[in-house]
Amino acid sequence: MYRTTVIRTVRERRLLHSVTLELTYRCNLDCFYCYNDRTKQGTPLSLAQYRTLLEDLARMQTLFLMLSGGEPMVHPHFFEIGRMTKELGFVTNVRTNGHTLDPHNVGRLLHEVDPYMVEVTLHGATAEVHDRQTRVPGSFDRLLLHLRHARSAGLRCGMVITPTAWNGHQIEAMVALGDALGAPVRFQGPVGPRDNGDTEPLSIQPQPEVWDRIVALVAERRATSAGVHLRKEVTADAGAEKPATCSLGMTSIDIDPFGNVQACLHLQEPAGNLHEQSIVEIWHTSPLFARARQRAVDAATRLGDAPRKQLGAPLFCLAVEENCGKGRPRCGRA
Amino acid sequence: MAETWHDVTIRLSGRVRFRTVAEEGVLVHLRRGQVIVVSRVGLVIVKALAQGATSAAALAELVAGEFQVELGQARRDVEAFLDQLRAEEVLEEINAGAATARE
Repeated sequence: MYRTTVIRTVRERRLLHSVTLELTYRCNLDCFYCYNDRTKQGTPLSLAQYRTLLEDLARMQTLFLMLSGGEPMVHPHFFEIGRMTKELGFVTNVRTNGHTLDPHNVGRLLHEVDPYMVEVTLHGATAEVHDRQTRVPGSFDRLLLHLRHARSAGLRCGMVITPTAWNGHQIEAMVALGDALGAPVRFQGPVGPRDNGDTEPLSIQPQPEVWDRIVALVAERRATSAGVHLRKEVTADAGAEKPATCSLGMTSIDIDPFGNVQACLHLQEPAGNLHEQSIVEIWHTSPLFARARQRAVDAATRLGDAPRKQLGAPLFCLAVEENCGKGRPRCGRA
Repeated sequence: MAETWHDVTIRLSGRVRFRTVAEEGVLVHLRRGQVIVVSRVGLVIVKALAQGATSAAALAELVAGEFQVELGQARRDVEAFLDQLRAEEVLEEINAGAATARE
């Protein structure tokens, strides 16, 4: 009923149902393919501005919040913001690399934030592969230690995997690891350029056969109701909506650390900035969301019925296409 | 767990989040990972439960007044709805003597 009735209502009435807050671009790992543009400049939102934003969103009846980054837990006010999301009645998810998810912070998360789910990033099934991607020795062992404790403490956890040339041979082993830890696995991709157009991450695209194995694995697990997911690309359109490549511009937004409100995490054009306007004003008056929606509709028309394929992945993402076209040289973060 | 709603004080569980979506209510149970959709009438009850401890009788009066229905009918409907919410572990029932809450 939620998917058939509520989501349709949310879309028809253009309600802001879901918001991602990129709290910071700072991170305690140094992942090779990180998409963030760490050279992006701006004035970070203050704690008071986050309170105003969250109170506005609560009045707008926004239900879902994702605290993301960078690494959100290194934000100096992470727990204060988390506490506000609990007080204001949001369903909060946290996307973290797990590096600071130690027993103390797990306790604080459960008590102060009470998230629906904590999603951690898994880069490999062994320390050699995982730490190669994070470029922080010991990060794999630490993640597993933290996850085991988090699960035993009652935190609902999931894992997200981006297939690469370095971890492609461990896909099945990573899924098995997720099973062993009680943390369902989700795949995302493809590895795309950074949000500033830097194409360096493309050098670790997986072989196409890796995606074939993932698709087969997802189908197999779906048949047995086991928890492995490939993020769904085309959404809804149960009614009169035109087909689109994603739900861009419809019911969700991304807010970067500097208050820029964007239609998506990766499309960097802002609809407005929270230093200058309220979220209510931006959501209801900016023409960017309608333009973004039209782009997704146009892309679906252009691609037609052909199976989606982008950089080897069985998906299509407008932002990957846009960032590939920025033509920036590598930033040299080898 | 109480078998009837007589003399039971209840409130919305702290493990439940909810929002109004148009005329309906969407509840998410954080631990069970479950989404529950309630009608316009259910939403009035959920909002009252979220505002603080109350009783089935008080909720029935609220519904009868809000929707212009006979009190007896409202009481039966409210109790049936509370039975569903109890089964979904959405409620905290407060023991009047010990003033403790449980799901």
